[in-house]
Amino acid sequence: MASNEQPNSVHHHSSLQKKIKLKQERRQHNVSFVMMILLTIVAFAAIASDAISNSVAILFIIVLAGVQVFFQLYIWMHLGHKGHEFPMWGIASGLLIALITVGTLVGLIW
Amino acid sequence: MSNAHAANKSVLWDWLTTVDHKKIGILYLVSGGFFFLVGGLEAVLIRIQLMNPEMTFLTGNLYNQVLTMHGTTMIFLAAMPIIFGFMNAVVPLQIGARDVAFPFVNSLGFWLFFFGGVLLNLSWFLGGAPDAGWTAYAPLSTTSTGHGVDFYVLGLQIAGAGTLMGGINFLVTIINMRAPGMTFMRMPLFTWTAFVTSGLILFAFPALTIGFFLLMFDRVFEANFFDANMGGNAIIWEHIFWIFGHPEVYILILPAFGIISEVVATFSRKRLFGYSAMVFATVLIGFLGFMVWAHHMFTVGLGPVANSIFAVATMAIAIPTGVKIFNWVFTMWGGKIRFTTANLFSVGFIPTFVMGGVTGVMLAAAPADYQYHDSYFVVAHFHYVIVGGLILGLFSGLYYWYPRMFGLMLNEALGKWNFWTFFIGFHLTFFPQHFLGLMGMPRRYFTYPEEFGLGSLNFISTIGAVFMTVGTIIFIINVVVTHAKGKKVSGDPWDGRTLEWAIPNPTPHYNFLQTPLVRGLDALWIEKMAGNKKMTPAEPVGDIHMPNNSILPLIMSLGFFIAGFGFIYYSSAGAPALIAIIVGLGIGLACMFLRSWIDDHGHHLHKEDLLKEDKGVDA
Repeated sequence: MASNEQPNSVHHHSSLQKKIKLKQERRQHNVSFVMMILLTIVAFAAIASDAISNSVAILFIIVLAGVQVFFQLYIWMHLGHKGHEFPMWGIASGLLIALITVGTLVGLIW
Repeated sequence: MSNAHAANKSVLWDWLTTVDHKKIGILYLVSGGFFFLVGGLEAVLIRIQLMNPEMTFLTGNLYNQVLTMHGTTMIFLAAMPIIFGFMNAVVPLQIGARDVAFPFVNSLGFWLFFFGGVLLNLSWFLGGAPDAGWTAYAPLSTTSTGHGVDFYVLGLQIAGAGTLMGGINFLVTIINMRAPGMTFMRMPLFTWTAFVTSGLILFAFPALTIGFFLLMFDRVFEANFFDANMGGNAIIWEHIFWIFGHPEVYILILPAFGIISEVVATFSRKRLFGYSAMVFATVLIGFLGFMVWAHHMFTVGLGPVANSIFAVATMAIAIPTGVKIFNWVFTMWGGKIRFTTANLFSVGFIPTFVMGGVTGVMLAAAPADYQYHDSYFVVAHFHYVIVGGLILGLFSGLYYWYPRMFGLMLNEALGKWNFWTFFIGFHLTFFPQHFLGLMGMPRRYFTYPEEFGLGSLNFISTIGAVFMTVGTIIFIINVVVTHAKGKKVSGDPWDGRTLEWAIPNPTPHYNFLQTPLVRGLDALWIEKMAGNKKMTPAEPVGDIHMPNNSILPLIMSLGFFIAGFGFIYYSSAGAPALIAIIVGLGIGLACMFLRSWIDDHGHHLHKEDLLKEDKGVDA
């Protein structure tokens, strides 16, 4: 890679910054990838073993699922980056409508 | 790759493989129009049966089938596709784009709808159509014998998948592909309504998809979601259906609002009154549309608290709708009004829709609804908003955008005959039905005894249906006459205000040689007022990137069509049906694989050819 480096110091500086950012991102990806596998194993174990009761296990895996969604959206689909305002709006309004609808439906039936 | 490559293939092949939004728009319009005629024929059969007391023209189960297919065809196979036809034909032009965001998906959406519609209608020839009403309430639908309801579930599931794709496509198109300067608050109102409608499709159709899956599992695989004896709950189907079904009626009416807004402004030579209020009202209607579904279920026994909440939410929708009505009237106020056929339909729409809205508020009052429920009053109400609202809007849009879509002007004299026969026929058909409902005539019944005294109003209603039929036939004659000897018109025959009229006729398949620069609401009108003959371009003339045609969407849809047959006959035919399922899904998956595997980067139209072509158009 050394051959690609430019003598221009400003350019050099910005490309270095980019490199550092890329490296950070790669680390995030690696960590989240391992974490997601681990979380999946933990979720499976929680259901497979008889050590904890079913109702606790269900709550537990719902929480784990929430964490997984966060990883998926923010680390892998870059929701935190700039230019993702519309997807954010879409997800938020979708969640709002789904929550109201499902909440009301459940309230009406049970 | 150049144009010459495409020109070698036959015309039929070109239409089957097209990914051009303008051609897909025409495909939607033609097939939606065909299903509109089928649904209309079913309506006429219903009216003949109800013309006199104790008729035996169409009785019992056959009446149920015709009634069910009338509703289902009109909503899913006529109204929705014609709306998508307009969205395809107009939205990319109005926002200054060269195509939709996903042209391949656009084509796939159309073919899924088409094969879904064909599958549903094949039921007529294969042992009987669905007979459980367009709402397919359980347990009537789960216990209906024969395969009719299976055709309903699978046909609409396939068509619905196409609709969902179309909705997502237009959301992405409107968000991402607007021309420079076209901010959200400069978008023409039809584009706004298409945007909100697409959002409603995105949120509402998944509920229907799930509902259909549950119903399919109950019928085909002997599940018990809606079987109370097995711990299921039939009311859940009603909830799921109307969680979809109520947003659906706003999916239908909002684009009509958009069309009316364009037409009224153009033919009043005035900017739309209260543009920002119109946008806000559109969004608000879309949002509130999700909060009112239980008003279809007041008599289910939800209890007074739930009924009151849904009643109030429903009445709240009258407010943004009223804002729209007033804004249309104020747009016309002081305007230089031209009563072209398009504008006649729009002006006819306004009072008609108000009447449908008023009965809507009456029905929203939960205690009163106990009286109206399942009577002809409800039938009158929803035909006033769907036919008197949506269909008048669609006719208006047809007359307005026909020069844009086909390069020809529909005959105005025939157009006026079309309007008056259809409009008078409409009121003659449905106005008496209010009173029939109040007199106690229940909906969905195939006859009534003479001594109930319902005969004369029903007879008037049937005469009205004849007038509407005449109006529709005049329209068909108009189309034939126009294409036989209609004269070609310029790109801007109405002295239009929005970007779609800034294009020469016929529309080049890349739409805009140069992407236009938008400097405000009614972009073309602003340039006209500034004394410019053309839109100011936002870019120099350059190579244009266009998508390639593909046959895959058609084959993929055909695969799901075959699989649909398999699922329909799975419970009675066994092994052969299973083979159909495997083969059909295999074709679908193979097409998906091919689409993912083969890189298709589209092609470029070269600057030199474009300039030559452009000169040819001008000369």
